[in-house]
Order: sequence, then structure tokens, then C-alpha cells
Amino acid sequence: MRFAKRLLKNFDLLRVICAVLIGFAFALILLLFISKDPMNAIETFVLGPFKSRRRFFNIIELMIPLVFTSLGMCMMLSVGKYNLIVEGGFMFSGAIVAWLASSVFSPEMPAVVSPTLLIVVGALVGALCGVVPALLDVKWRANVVVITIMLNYILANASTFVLRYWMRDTTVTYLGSQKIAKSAKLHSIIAGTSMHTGVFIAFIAVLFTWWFINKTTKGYEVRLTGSNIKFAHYVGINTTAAMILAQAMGGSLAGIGGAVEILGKYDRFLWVNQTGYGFTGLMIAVLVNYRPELTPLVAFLFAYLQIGANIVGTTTDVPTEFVLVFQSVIILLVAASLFMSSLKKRLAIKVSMAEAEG
Amino acid sequence: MFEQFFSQDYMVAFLNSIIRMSTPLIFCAIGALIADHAGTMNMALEGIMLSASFAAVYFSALTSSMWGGIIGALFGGCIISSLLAYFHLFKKSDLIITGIALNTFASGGTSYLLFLTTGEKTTSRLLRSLQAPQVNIPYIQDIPILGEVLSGHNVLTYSSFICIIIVYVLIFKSRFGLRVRAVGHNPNAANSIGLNVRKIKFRALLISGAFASLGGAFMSMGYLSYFARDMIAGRGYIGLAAATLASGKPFGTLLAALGFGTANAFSITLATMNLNADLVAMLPYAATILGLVLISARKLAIEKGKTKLVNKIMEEKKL
Amino acid sequence: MVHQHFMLVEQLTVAENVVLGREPKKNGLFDFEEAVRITGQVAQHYNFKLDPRVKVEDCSVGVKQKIEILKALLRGAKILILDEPTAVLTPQEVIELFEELKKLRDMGHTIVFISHKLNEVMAFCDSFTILRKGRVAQEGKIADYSEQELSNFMIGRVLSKTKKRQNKGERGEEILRVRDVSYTNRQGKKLLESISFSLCKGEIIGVAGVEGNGQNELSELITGLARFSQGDITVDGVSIKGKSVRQIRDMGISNISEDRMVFGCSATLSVIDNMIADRYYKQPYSNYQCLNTKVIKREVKELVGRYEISCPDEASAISMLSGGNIQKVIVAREFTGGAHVVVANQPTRGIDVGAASFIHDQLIQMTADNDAAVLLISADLSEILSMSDAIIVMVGGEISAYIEDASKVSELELGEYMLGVKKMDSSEIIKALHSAKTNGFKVVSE
Repeated sequence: MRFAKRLLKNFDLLRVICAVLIGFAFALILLLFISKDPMNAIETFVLGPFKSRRRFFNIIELMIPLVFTSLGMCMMLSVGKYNLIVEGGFMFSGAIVAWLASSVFSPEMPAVVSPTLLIVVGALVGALCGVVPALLDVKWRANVVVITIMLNYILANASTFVLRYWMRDTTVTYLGSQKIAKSAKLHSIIAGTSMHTGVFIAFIAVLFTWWFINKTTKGYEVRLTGSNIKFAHYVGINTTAAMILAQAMGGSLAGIGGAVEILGKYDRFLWVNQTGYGFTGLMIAVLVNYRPELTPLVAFLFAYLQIGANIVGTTTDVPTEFVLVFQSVIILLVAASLFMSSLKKRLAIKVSMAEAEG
Repeated sequence: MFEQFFSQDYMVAFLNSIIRMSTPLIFCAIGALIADHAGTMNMALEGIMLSASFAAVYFSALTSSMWGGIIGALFGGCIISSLLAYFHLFKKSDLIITGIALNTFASGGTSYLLFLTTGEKTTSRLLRSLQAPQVNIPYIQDIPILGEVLSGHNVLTYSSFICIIIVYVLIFKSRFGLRVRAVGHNPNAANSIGLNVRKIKFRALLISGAFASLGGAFMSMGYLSYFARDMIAGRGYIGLAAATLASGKPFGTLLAALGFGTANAFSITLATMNLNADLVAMLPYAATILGLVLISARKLAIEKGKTKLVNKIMEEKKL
Repeated sequence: MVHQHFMLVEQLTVAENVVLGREPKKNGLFDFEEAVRITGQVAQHYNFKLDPRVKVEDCSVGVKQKIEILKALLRGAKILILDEPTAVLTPQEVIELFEELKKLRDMGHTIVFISHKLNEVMAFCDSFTILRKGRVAQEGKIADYSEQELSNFMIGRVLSKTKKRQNKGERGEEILRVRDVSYTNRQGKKLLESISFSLCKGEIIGVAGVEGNGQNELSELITGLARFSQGDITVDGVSIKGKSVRQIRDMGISNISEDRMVFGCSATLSVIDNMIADRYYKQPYSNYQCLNTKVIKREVKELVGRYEISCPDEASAISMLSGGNIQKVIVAREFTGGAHVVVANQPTRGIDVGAASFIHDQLIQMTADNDAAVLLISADLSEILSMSDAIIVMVGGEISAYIEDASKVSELELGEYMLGVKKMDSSEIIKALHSAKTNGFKVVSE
């Protein structure tokens, strides 16, 4: 009885866990079909990421951009807006930061100041990206989803433009920027891995977003506006301002993410296509039900799956993309509000019956 | 440089490529249009087209017939669109999230199946799939320049133009279309006279997926002769934007899709001339944003205008 | 069945709406011309004047109603149920509708006319059934009863509750003044017409009336949720015209909304979050834009205790609470924010007796030390009678009666005012207002 009650209280968590398990089963079945040596492939997929220090830190490293984009999406969704600019904002901020880092910043500049400045620039660029669709939405009620998807293409093209015409290194055969100044880069923190200080920045970003949403008056206004805009208006909150603020912050989180990713992981700017981190961020935000403090957990899960799939892809005969099926099955199930609703109803009836008796 | 562009051969090739580039967009925009009339937003068009283009290759190789490929494409696309319809209508899930998840699903799923069926990781060149045939239109093909531009396209390209007419009839002239529009604009009203709203929406989403599937089929049976990973490359979203831009009008949708096709062809042409292709490639997206904003601003203005007018009349009556 | 809110697809034409669900076909396609013909034919048969080819969104409300009736008739309806059909119509349209309905009656149709407007019922119907609290209170032929009698059936005997509130005789100074306020909605219908009254500290004024006669609009105007087109509202002598909701709340107006789940709270947020919605930005609840969680928690805990709100814990979502407890959270918030005027719109509707009684006691406490005033809007006559010092009756967006001393009116008389059987003329109302407010309250008369 107490068990049923506790289950009911944590039902959302239970749903997510069930969805993950179903997704996992799905992935294993996929592996079973495709691999000549399925047991080996499954073992590599599940345990591979933990088999060496380098691989484990690969997960952490991949987590960093996902944490930023999912935090950004949490902000967007907390006011109920499908502002997908996180995708484009991440890339474009990365491009601008890379351009500045490879041209304006010289190697002689002090080592801590340069990345800080560049990350601030990234935040500003991202915020700008977030505000534009938000303004179009509140001012003219333009369809945010379509507008931001279009803006993402524009930003992707703009990034390639910056790469091709402002910072291309013509001495290399591939399309890449000039080298990013050493002084601007985020330091590696663990020797022998590519772990960089960006992980701390991501950690701070999580704390900050959590603090902002739960502990500040502006965050309170954002929450109220997102959960019931009529009520927010009724108690006198400026709902327009709250919406724009949330989307600006969402954009700037993505921008910081782009800056950190470029400065921490790359020597040159190389992106020519959308990164996809924004869409993954959306999925993570949905999974954590827009609660920023939980994003690292799910980002870790997604990064772990991706790294596991990468290892499977390089060491066995299986292509890495099967992991996308896995991720999307989880999201499909979690986004379906009626998934497991009959079980919830049964539990609720059981609990209330017992309460009525006792 | 520009002389070269304005030469006759170049012009013909350019116009030709516009039509070619527009084909998948037209199909996809038709799909978006139908979903729009049913009051839903088909965010999964990208995934629908992708799985359709894979299924087209696979089934045409399997059956060694073009028709097998087309039917396979419809099947492949409808799997995704029925998943979307099922989760949205029966499990109350959010259209946008579900759509994006299904796009990811299709991207991963097709790569997986590609490897499963061919052992390849990027393209299906090893599969002996067929292409949809090219059609020369009698008489027109003999007209000097026009013939070269208009004739000799893939059969699916001509179908896309015919489909615009079909969809116009379907939505505005058929009983089903009337019901779809009723359900899309006011589901409560439709429900109150005994229409099954869910069923009609489900069908509309399936039909929407079927048209988009033809666009997917064109990608792997006409535009290219094989399937390549993530070969739709955002065309699904662009089709969606084209339909939104045309706000529900089939011929407007055709124009919008052709506009995107033109811009697409233009940026490729310019890129070959070493011009600034990235900036040109932005144009269609920027134009869409501008168009969308103008349309919604106009709607808003009309709404406000009506209120103002009413207030004015009331005041005058008072005086 | 013709719903009170039309079930029409605005973007389709009249003919398409009429035939929807049983569309004529030709060659497998929808035959629009045939639909137009059918619609025209039926319309002509019943003598309805309308153009089947125009879009519904371009039709007037009266025409839309005809379309709804046509829809039903085309489906072979013998019995037409009309739910408050005249609520949205202009007087001329009402006359037209009645003419048409009478013709339908003469052609053998049965019409069920659901309405609270007694004069319309008297003028139009043959027999009646009166429903009160879900039970049949009376039925019979209209011709056998007078309007007075019907009204009495509708009101029934209000259970003689002990009057909760004694008229204190003394009042504080005037705090809220509403002067000649009119309001027109987006569709151009006038919902409030020259409303004037004033409210003094320590006073409870009841606003009686059947729902939908302008009470909601009045409360929205006073709280700043809607803007008025004419007249003025002042709080402590300061006009609220052009002020934001926040500014008006800061002037000391608070509001219990009639729809508590839409305007009164946010279902997914916690009790704490809902409780502090009106004060989170003030000291000591926040410092330098940061919420002071400790103070907030203590305050909420205190309020939950004081207002006897039963909830598992303050951090759980408000939607887990019962309706009565949710309303108590709202009352706790709106009463303790330092308000001088509480606009309480249906504060006890749909909640259990215990919670309702508790809220009544709190309302009386609010005014006990002459610090605040209450405008109590309610459709529940016994609530109005037991709580109010003075009573305003609203009918069709106008004040139809002003009763200076609530203890001197019977529920039956009040009911007659509410149902439009009786009406004070404007000079009577002005006189009542004048005698009530000796401190120079002026009414702008035409």
C-alpha cells in the first residue's frame, strides 16, 4: 500500500524509467538483428564507455554542449514557446567566437581574460538570436516554430559565411578556420584526455539556471507566465517582458554553449552543417520536464548512449545511428501524455480506496 | 562571368534545375498543406520523406519495378505519419516534440536499415534500384528553348504539378475536404454534428504523409538514383514553411515551393561561379520569415481593425 | 439543439455549414451548388432570410443563430432546444427570432426555450417548467400564472439563514467610486451601461443578478483586466484609468476571480507559488530581485494554518487540493495583501459548505475594523442577503435597482428585480445613491 502511494507520487519518474527501459530493449533488439556477433556488440555498447578513462571523459565532454542546449530549451519551454533557435544560436555563437579568437585575440593576451570575454560575447550573440523570434512572436504572433527553423538555416549559412570569408585558413585543404589563439582556449584539466574547464562552466550554468527559475523574482514571473498566462496577467505580471526575458536567456545559454564547445574542444572552427545539439537539447528538456537541475543526468545518459554507439561503430561492424532510434523511442513515449495513464489511474484508485478505508 | 550566366544554354540548364529542385518541395508542401487544413502541424515531414526515399530504393530493388518503389515509398512514409497521428491523436502527445522525435527516429532507422540490407553505411549504390522514368512531352519538346526547359523531366516532377490540382480538388471540392476543413477550423462544431474528429484528422495526416512520401521517392528515384544518409537535408521543414507561407492556398503553395526551388538552384549556380553562395542561400529563408511576419501582422491588423471599427460605430451611435 | 455558443465553422460558407455531415455529392465530389440550393430551399420554407454563399465569419450574430436553427431543421429535427438564444442578440434580432420561432411552432415543431428572462418567457412560451437546483420546481401553462408567481417559483424560499452580518450603521470614508462606466466588448455589444455607485470602508455591497448580466465585466474593469470606454473609476480619489493591473493592485484592490482555475491560480505550481503571486516582488518576500525563501515559507505556513487549508504540504501542486481548499488559498492571498477593496466574484461557488462558511466569516472580518470594503458579486441570493449592507441589482449590464439597506428587502422582491419583473427607474436609483452617500456623491445624470 505504501509502495503504491510512493509509486504514484513519483509517477513521472517511473514513466521516464519505463520509457528508457523500453528504448533500451529496442536498441538491444536492433543490435541483435544487425550484428554478426550480437553479444559482443551489446557488451561493447553497454560497457564500452566505461572501459577506459579516455572514453569515460569523452562522455563528460559530449555532455557539455548537451547541458547547455538543454538548459536553453528548458528556458524556452518554461514560457511555453517552441523557440528552436538554440540549434542555430549555438552554431552561430561558436562561429563568431571562433572568428574573434582566431583573428582579434592574439596569443599574448592573458589566459583567463580572453576566454571569459569570448564567452560573454557568445552569450550576447545567443541572446540576440533568442530575442529576435521572441519579438516577432509577441509583436505579430508569427509562428515561432517555423520562424526559428528558418532562422536556424540562416544562422547556419551565416556561420559558413563567416568561416569561408572571414577566417578561412587557405593553407589547409579542408574548409576550416584559422587556428584559435592558444590564450583564448579553455584549458584541459585532466592530462591524457580532452576534458576541459568547460565542464565547470556547464556546472555553473546548471546552478545558475536552477537558481534563476526557482529563486529570483524574474524567474518566478517566467514560471507563472509559462504555467498559466491568464493568471500571471491577473496578478499583474508583465507577461510580454517575462516571455522575452526567458527566450533571451535561453538563447544566451545556447550561445555560451557554442563558445565553450569551440574554445574547449576545437583548434579550428569546422562546422558547416547544423550540429543537431539543439534538437537533442529539446529532447532532454522534455525528458526532465523542464527542470534545469536534472539536465546533467539526462545529458549524461544521452552522451553515454552516443559514446557507446560510437565505440560500437568503430570497433564492430554496426553503424552508430541505431542509437538515434533508441533516443527517439524514449522521447516518443515520454511525450505521449497518455503513456501508462491507465496504470496511473489504477494506482490512484487503489490509493484513494485504501485511504477511504483507513 | 555574368555573360556566361545569361547564355542560352546556361539559362536552360538553370530553369531546368529550378523545376527539378522544386519537385520534392512541392510534394512536401502539399503534405504540410493538408495537415494545416486539418488543424494540425506535420512536423514529421522530414522523417516521412526520408523513410519514403529509403523504402523507394529498397522496394524497387526488391521487386525490380518502379511501381514497387513508389508503393514502397508510400508505405515507408505512412509508417512515420501514422505513428505521428497515433501518438498525437490517441496518446495526446505534443505534435512538435513527437514530430522532431520521429525525424530523429527516421534518420536513425533508415541508416540502420540501410546497413542491414546493404551492409553500407552511407549510400545504397550497391542496391540495383530503379529510377522513375523521364518523360518527353510530345510537341512541347520540339519547341526550341521551352521544350528543353519543360520536357524531359522525371515523371514524378510532372506528377507533382498534377498533385497540386488534385489536392485543390480534394480540399476544396470534395466531401472529405469539406470535413477536413470543418474539423481543422472548429473541431467542436464538427463533433456536435456527429463527425468523427479523430478519424478525419488521422486520415488527413495519412494523406499528408502520402504526398510527402512521393517527394521522398523523387529524392532517391529521380533527383539521385540511390539513397544516401539524411538525404532530405531539411527539405521537409522548408516544405512546411512553404505551406505556412501560402496560408492554405494550393496554388500559393506551388509558388512558394517554386520560389524555394529557384533560390536553391540559384545558390548552387552561384557557388559554381565562385560567388558568395552562403549569402544567397539565406535568401529563401529570410523571405519566408518576412512573409510569415507580414501575414500574421496583417491578420492581427484585421482583427484589431474590426474592433476599432466597432468601437467607432458605437461611439457615433452614442453621439 | 442550438447551443448558447455557436457550433459553426466560421471559415466555411453558410451552405457548407448547413449541409456539413450530410453533404450532397455529384460525380464523387462535393456539390456546392446543390448545397446552396438545399440551404436556400429550407431557408425559404421557414421564411429565413439569409445568403447561403457568404462565409459565416461575415454574418451577424442573429444570422449565425438562424444557421444553427437551419442545421437542426435540415436534419429533420422536430424538437428544437434553444439554450439562452437571446443572450447574444440585439432587441430587434430578438423580435425577429421570436417571429420565426412562432412560425416554426405553427408548422408543428416543438420548441424548448431555455431562458432566465421572464418577460421573454411570458411573451413567447405556451407552457413552462421551472428548474431549481436540479429539480423541477413547478410546471404548467403560462396563461395560468402571473409573472409575479413565476418569479416566486424561480427564486423559491431562501432557507432563512441567520443573517451573518449586522448593519453597523457607521461607515468609513469612501474608498471606491465608480462613475458612469460603460463597456463595449470586441464584438461591439454593450455589456455595461452607465454604472455608478460608491463603496465605503467597512461596507459590503452585494451585486446581485443572474450570471452574465455584466457582473464579470464590472469586476474586470475595476481590477484593470479590461479597459472601460466611458466614465471613471477612482480608488481613494485616484483614477485607475490607463493603469496596469500591477499598479491597480498596488493601489489596494484585490480580486477573487469567478473562474478560479483559469484566473485564480496556476494548477501545476505549488501552494507556495500560488500564495505569493501578488506579493513576491515586495519586501520582505524578496530582496534585490531574489526571493527570500525562508520568509515566504514561514508566511505561507502561517497563512495555511490561519485559513485552515488542508494540504499534504505547501510544496505540492495546488491541483492536488480540493476545490474548497484551492479557493481558500486564493482568499488567503487576496485578503492578506493589504487590500482596501476586495472584489469578490462568486467567492463560494461550487465549494463545500464548510469552506463557504469560512470564507464568509473572513469577508466579514475584512470589513470589521472599517479598514477595507468588499464588493460581493454573487448569483446566490441567500449569500447576497446574509452578507451585504447594500445591494446593487444588475440586469442586462445596467443597475436595475439599488437597495440601500439590505435588511429591508425580501428575497422575492430581490428576485423580481433580478429577473426584470420589477425595475427602479433612474430617479429612484439616484435618490437611493444620494441618501446612502451623504458625503457629496454625485451621479452624472443624463
